[in-house]
Amino acid sequence: MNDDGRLEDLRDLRLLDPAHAPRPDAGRSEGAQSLLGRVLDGSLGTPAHGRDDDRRRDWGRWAVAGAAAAAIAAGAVLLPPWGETDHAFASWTPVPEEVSAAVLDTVAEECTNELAATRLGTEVVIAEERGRVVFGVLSRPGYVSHCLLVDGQAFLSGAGSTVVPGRAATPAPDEVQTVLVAGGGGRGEDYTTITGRVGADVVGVEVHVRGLREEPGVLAGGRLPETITATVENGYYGAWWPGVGAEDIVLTVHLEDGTVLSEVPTFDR
Amino acid sequence: MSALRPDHDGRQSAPATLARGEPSPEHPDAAAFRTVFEAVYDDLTRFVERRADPATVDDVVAESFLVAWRRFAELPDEPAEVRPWLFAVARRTLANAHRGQRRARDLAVRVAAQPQPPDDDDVDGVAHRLDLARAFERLRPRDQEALALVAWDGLTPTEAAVVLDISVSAFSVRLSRARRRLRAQLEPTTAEGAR
Repeated sequence: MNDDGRLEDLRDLRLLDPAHAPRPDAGRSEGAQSLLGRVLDGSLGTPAHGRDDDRRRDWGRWAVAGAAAAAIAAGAVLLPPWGETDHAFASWTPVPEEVSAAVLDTVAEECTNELAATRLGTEVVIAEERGRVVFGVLSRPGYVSHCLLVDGQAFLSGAGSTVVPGRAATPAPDEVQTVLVAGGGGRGEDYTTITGRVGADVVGVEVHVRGLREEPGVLAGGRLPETITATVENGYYGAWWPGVGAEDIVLTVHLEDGTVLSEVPTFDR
Repeated sequence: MSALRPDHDGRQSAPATLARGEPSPEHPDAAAFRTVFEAVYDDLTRFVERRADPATVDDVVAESFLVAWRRFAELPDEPAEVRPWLFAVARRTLANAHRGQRRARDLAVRVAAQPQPPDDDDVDGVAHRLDLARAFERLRPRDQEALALVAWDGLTPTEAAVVLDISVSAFSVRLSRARRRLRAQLEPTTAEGAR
């Protein structure tokens, strides 16, 4: 075997290449130039344009109570969509499943792939499965990101800074610091994610979404359950659900000694 | 390559598209993008042809260039790095095209329906190539992709690693395993189990 891997088997494989023979001047052909012109003048009517518009509209629809939310630099990246809308969200469950090691590996690979900015030093802190959708949260100092994977493919992702003025760098043992709430989607794929850090004594978090502007029709019951069980791992909590546009989100926090803290706000008011 | 960074409203920075139908001056980056486009168009089309249904090739190529234009600021400075960067864009576009089809994250790679005849065609050679085609089709998509990136797309392991967004060493391992499994498929009596 030589170093560049170009051995006989690879050479023989070239005979199986399904692509057309090279045409070095193809980029200057009439068809290619027409495509180039449409890309540059913005007239290419691709789904990505439409989806970006949807994204902006959805961000405008998103509402989080509390001034602290405005301090969170939350962003979202919508990957170029393709094909027909897939209602993987219909398989969503209010209680998450733990993921296998293989799925965890997929989260690490696919989510860092889609969030190249957070690649270095980023670790997966949460990975959970709700139906066909895997939700991953990745973290590095001062930064948190999430992504949703459908059937192993990164589907939607977002990121934000965890640095909030006036907030302690590390949560107290019984404290929950919500650091990122993000919503987006469109075309039946609206979704909301919530992510935060938890103190050492926090063993469970439940999320209550209040005043949802529009019930997620994609769910079998047509309504979002009153309680969504978040995943608590590695000093973080996280959850996601179909739909956007809640008036308020509050938490129930379970501590290691059995204490239950109710109506915990997601952000300082 | 510069990093993907959402801006304040969550959208990625990109060159503003010119208003449709207006005789506006060309965008400052347009000339540079045109150069890239013309240089890579054929390679990108062939890359997609290997992985997409023929009916969707043009759409995927168009989508990929549109994404590339909108992320033009992130394009590598080194010309040699542009092609794998664009292939990576196309691969993500393809991945989204397939996301509703319950398949693994590795894209399926097609083989030629009628392999090209070599210059010195002979019976043994034909049989070998048919065996090779069958062996390739039996491989897992991840193995097919590793082989295709090198054998068909002509990428170095370093470039292929960029396309897959994995380390060069990880790709080298993946390629080595793929080649071993391919050989195992070709020689079933000495086959080595997939790992």
